[in-house]
Amino acid sequence: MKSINKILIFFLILMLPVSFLLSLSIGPYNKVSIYQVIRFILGKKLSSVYVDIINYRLMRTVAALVLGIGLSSSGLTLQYTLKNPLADPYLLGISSGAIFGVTIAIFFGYYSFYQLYVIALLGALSSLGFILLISTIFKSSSTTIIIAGISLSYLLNGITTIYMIRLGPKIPSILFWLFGSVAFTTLNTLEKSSILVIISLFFMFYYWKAINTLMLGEDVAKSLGVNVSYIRIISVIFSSISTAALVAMAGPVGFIGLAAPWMARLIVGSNFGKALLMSLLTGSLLAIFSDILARLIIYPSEAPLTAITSIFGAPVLIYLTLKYKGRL
Amino acid sequence: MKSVILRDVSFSIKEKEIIKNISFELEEGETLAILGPNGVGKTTLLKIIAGLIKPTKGEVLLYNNSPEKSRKYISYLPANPNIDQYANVEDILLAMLYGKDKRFIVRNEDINKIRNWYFKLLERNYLKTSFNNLSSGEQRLVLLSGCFAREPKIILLDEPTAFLDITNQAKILKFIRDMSIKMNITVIFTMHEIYYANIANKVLLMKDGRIKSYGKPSDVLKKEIIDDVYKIDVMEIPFDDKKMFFPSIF
Repeated sequence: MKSINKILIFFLILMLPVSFLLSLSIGPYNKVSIYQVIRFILGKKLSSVYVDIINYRLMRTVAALVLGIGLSSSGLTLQYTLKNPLADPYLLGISSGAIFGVTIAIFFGYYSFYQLYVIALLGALSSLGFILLISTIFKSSSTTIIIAGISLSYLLNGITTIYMIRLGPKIPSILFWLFGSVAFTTLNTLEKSSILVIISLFFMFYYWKAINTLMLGEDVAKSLGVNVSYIRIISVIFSSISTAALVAMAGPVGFIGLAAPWMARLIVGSNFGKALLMSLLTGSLLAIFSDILARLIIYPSEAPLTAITSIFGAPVLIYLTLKYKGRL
Repeated sequence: MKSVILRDVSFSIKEKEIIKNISFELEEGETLAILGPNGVGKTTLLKIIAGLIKPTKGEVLLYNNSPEKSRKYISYLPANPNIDQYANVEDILLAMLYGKDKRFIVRNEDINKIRNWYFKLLERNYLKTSFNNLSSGEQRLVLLSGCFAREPKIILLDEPTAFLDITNQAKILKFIRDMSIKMNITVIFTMHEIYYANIANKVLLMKDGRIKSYGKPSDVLKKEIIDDVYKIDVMEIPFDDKKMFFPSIF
């Protein structure tokens, strides 16, 4: 690895605690200085107003961290196993399932965050079930899986649109969730989603060398002794579970699942293990900084996270792609 | 010692027989060239030996094991492997060590091993370059070095000389022959250049999924046999003790 990349990686690792400090101090309601945040971290006494604000921001920062880790690792895994450089976690209709579930639930009068969380999770997982059914019936080639996912998305989006029109004046209540944001994450939903993300990550790391061989094409991977269909199904299952948990928690936050894996690959190369580790870092930084910007950009109100991840991430991705053209 | 044994191997898809009753045996360290027209079943036969397809009849034994149990000592290279074009050469070569390396970590000795084999075939260092920036000749040489880095006992190559210039064709064929002798590796490859088959110890000429002729190159490569298999009138041009064959097109 070139030394400039080592410096870049070191810098990015350093940025993680910096992003936490900034995220805890910046935001509406009340200004909290970095000095006070550091006092809070060291366990010094602080007025209760500050403690409440910092605790709330701490939770949403952790939520952004988990969101970044989960989406980027899922995106990377799907890019390898479906052999599609443009694969992102929503390609398989996971988010459409969740949006469909939530819209129907609101239509029938369910409103509490937790009810909607469970319904979104179930909606997303039934999308996964459908994809698995299709891919086992049709012998799981990566193209059939992608086509099944895209068709399912369109189908569900169509039905969702009709129900949304019928919702009429109740639309704003789901709009913010639809845009994607960690502002409404609760400790309860964060906890449950984190567990699912961590389980999924465990499997991605456990099978990293087998997933890595898929870069050689199906036939070569098989000849090396990799059970390709099994690895593909396992990868689809766990990246979808991770994505489902995150969509339920924060809505369909876009672009992280596509951009963060590519940023990681451009920095460390295509080795799946290295890229997976690196994508945890790029994903969490992208999510946390985007969340900070979301709080600042139309201060004192808040912008949706997807808007920021896209505006902020797209130029970075284009810049990296041009800079590392030869290696890409 | 026998390294490859095929006994009465047949393969069919929906009643249509693609491979019919193929049997042959190879000694350790022998090289076999499989020849035959397009669509005759060369690639399918190679995939059966590699254990990617199960024969519908008969059996394949590699050192008395089924191909599925022999993954650690086989290298297989398809004619058009679907390699990730964005991956760099070193990552590709490391991935080709799967099953011969440690389960979760990449050791320095693995990196040294792939570098060592890489520089036996290529002069310039493209290890950190992405695969799509290499010429097709360089790509083939890279993948071939990966096959050898696995330190296999049997190497299966589907058309290793296709799409290459004569310099690279000669380089690859000589390398295969030299390494096969030096390291006692059994190599089976398919090809379309009839003259090159002379480099192998044995030649298998296929017609309609069957063996038309099998044996030493000088016994198999004869005008009347080749005329029959390729259904075209070929010119026979003697060269040293070998013969070249060309279709008469002028």
